[in-house]
Amino acid sequence: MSYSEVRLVFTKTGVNIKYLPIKKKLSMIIMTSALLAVVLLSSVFVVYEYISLRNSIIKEFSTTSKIIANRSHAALLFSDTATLQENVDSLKIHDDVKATCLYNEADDILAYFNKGDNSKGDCPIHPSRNLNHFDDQYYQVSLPIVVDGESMGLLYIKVSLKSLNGHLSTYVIATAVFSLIIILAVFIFSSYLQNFITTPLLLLKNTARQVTKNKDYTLRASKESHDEIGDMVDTFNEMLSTLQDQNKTIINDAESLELKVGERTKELAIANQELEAFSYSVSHDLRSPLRAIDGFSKALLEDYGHDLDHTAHDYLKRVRKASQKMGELIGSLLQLSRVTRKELKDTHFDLSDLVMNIVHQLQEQDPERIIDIQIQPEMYMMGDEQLIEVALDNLIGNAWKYSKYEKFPKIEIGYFVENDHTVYFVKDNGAGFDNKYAKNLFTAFQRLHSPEQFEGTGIGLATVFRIIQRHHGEIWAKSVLDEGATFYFTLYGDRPQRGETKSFSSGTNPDTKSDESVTGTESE
Amino acid sequence: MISHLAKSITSVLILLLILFCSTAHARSENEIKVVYLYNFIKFITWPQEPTTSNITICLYGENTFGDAIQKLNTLKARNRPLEVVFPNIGEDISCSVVFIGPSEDNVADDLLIDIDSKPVLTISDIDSFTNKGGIIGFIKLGNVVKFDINLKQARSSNIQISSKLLELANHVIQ
Repeated sequence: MSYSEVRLVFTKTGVNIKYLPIKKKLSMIIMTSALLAVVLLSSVFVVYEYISLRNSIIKEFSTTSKIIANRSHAALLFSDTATLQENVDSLKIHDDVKATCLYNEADDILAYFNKGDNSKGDCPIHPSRNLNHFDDQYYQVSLPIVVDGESMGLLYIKVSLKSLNGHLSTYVIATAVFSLIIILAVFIFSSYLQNFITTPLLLLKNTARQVTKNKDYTLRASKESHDEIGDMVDTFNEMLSTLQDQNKTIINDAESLELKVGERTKELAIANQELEAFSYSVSHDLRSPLRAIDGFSKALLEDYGHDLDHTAHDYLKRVRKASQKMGELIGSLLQLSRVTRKELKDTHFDLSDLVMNIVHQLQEQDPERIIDIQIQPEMYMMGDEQLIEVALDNLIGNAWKYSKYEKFPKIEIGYFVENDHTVYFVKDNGAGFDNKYAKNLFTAFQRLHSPEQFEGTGIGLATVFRIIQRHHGEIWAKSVLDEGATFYFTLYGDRPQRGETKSFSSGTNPDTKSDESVTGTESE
Repeated sequence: MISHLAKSITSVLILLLILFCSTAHARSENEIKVVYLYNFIKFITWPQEPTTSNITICLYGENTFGDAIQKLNTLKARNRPLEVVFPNIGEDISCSVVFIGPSEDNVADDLLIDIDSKPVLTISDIDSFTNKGGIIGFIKLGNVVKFDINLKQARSSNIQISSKLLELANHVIQ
């Protein structure tokens, strides 16, 4: 049987060879081999015995029949039936001979005997010459009686095979019994001897299991044998040593890293403290002189305005404007620093709602502006609500601001999904910007428009960039000068790559133009 | 008168019948003897065999065998062709086998003395042939044709007789 057939047999009987323990596998191998050897050997011997028994019968009766035939020559020629019968009867002594018949040339029975009933029944009526035939029970042989070259008659003998069959059965049974004894002995011996292989293996397995369970790399497997398994044990132990050393190194590194982290955290805490102090200082200490400048300028205008000429009014207005501007700048910087320091608190919140509030506030500040605002409803987002509010405040504020000269201004806020990227966008149809200079879009203090056109601090986008960055997202923008700009951002994921095959998308990208965009770059 | 005639006719008929039967019987007996004669040769070994020369069978006296004996001329025994001859007494012929017919009863002794120890197989159906020095003598036991063998004479004549034949002999003189 082929290997797959053997596997099939075993699977049918519910035993899959692969899952047998090694002890059983070894036993099976040894027992099968022994069984095969014993069976083959026994078969060979049984067959040989059978054949040689047969041959000895053939030989014996060949000789016997020749002798009897020879002795019967004269009796046959001289028709001496008495002597013929005497000759034939001499075969009665042989236990296995059942019947003997002596014929003349005309197939008449001249002499015979038949053990049992002494009828002529067993004598064939027309016996064939030179018969040599075995069936289950009898062996039949016939020999022509030839005198001086002339065939005078025929001798026929029928031999019972009972004793032969009996002998063979005994032989087979004896063989079977001895085979079983041998197999049993083999089983006993092999069960003991296979320990030489299985014991070292099991020891190794147990050690390995211990190491894994207890994560104890100091354990070593004991080497029981000095063969391939022994080599495996040595290699295993070497491996454990290596593991032990590497583990030590890792622990040491981890410890030193822990120390470093601790130091850095301390430094960071200190830096934050300093920054906190600085911000506080800035907010209070810088602002109060500013307030004084603005306040007193205002007082001057109010109290002595009637005494001042046009130029003086103009100067004072400029002073006020400048100090206010500085105040704004300080405010933006403070915001930026706060954004950097704040601990991220992620929550699941309603983005549409948030956007709505921002828009309302903007409208309150500028009630005469009429802008078509489209907010995608039911937008939810996972992030720091306060920071996202600041970011969107800036983005939407920008969109509001830069649509100042647009006749029919329109702002869209929404999101779309592409594969596993969720992309939010704020789109306006305002002034837009030139992509050429857009590298500096997210850099602080860089402005692409003059302050006469659009006022601004230049810090807004840098703040947005920092917020998105802290959310491990990406922000980028597309624009066409005088036609508007679209700002995109993702949170906790990168933007869709160029050439990525869209296996899933929902929502609509407001700009389905080619991928000429600007990404936020780092520069502080 | 008529009864007397009938009686005599009946007796003649009966006589003829008996004669016929006896002749018939005698013929089958003679046939048997021819067969036996032929078969004897198979069990006899002459000195200076093997040779392919003819086995000469000399018949002395009346031929009681009829045509049957001629058949032997066509046969072979011991891989040698047979030749049947009918010599006169006193003729110088070398015979392998000599058969003395019953008609030569009186001259049988002289013949035997003449042959003496030559390697000749002497056969006859004369009474007490073997006692007289013949080698094989036909006898009749009841209705069955049998034979006696004078082994002593055979030995002195250098003729070997197979034990198979001896076994079948009625009486063997040693």
